[in-house]
Amino acid sequence: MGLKTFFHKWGSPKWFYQMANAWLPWLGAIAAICLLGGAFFGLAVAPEDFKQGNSYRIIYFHVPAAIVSLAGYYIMAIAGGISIIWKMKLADVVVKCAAPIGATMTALALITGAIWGKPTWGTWWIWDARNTSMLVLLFLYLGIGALYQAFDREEQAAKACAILALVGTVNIPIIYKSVDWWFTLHQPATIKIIGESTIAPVMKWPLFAMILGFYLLFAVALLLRTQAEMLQRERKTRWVKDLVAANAEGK
Amino acid sequence: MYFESFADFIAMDGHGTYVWIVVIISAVFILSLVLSPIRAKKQFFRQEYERQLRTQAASNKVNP
Repeated sequence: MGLKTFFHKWGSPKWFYQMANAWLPWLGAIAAICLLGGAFFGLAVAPEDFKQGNSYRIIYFHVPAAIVSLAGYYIMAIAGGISIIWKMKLADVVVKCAAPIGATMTALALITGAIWGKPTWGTWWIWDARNTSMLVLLFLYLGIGALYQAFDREEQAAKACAILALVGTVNIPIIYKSVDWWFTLHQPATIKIIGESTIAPVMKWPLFAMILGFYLLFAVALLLRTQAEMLQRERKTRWVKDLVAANAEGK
Repeated sequence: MYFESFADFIAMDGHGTYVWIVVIISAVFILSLVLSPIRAKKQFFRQEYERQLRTQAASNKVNP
């Protein structure tokens, strides 16, 4: 598929909607298996940590949520870039729909982190570089959501949000590197893509499953939200009217 | 299984409260991420169908 046909197809809301419908059951099923399996093995099968005891099991929720909150920001910023350069409608919608999902993931990472901090560090919160930069990430996500509502015209809103999303990417490497650059209570990463991970395999595999599950969850939520938004925007078109009729017959 | 009994599994050596609150909050967040757009799609189809019916009824009145 050439680049031109690629953009042409992804520019078609109807094609996107159908593709998403075809992919969603598979993505959803694999996400559910990864999340349920990862949670079961992480909570019940993996041994306890020799320093932290059982409270370390929070890692199976905290780390995947944090990783995906950052990855989600990249997806949103890339969509913002595409929206500015190629003025693609689908990219506008993705920016708008990714923001609340990213905010939910970031909030989950912050909340689970606070609950993990209490038994481990003895405090719910410290103003270290990572916590602070994650809080900034939450405000960026919420800010993009709020900025969208602040405009009457859809194109202006899309442009402003795309710019804010792109500017906000400076925060992402700061979050990644914050545990190395500044003093913190956060432990450095125990999983390394290059080199030996400092985590036992029986603890590692449930964590990988949860991370994959959270990535897929993000994809499922983004596809569903984008579909819902597309339907609203395209409700005057033939293909949406046909879908509405087909849905009514199905009942 | 790592734990000796179900009670041990729930208690988690005194860390149970922290761990299970995290599990519950995560489950609520995950479900809401998936269910809220599904509900939005369903609502769209219902409302749009009703609107189509209304406009059809209105146009039938004008040209019977």
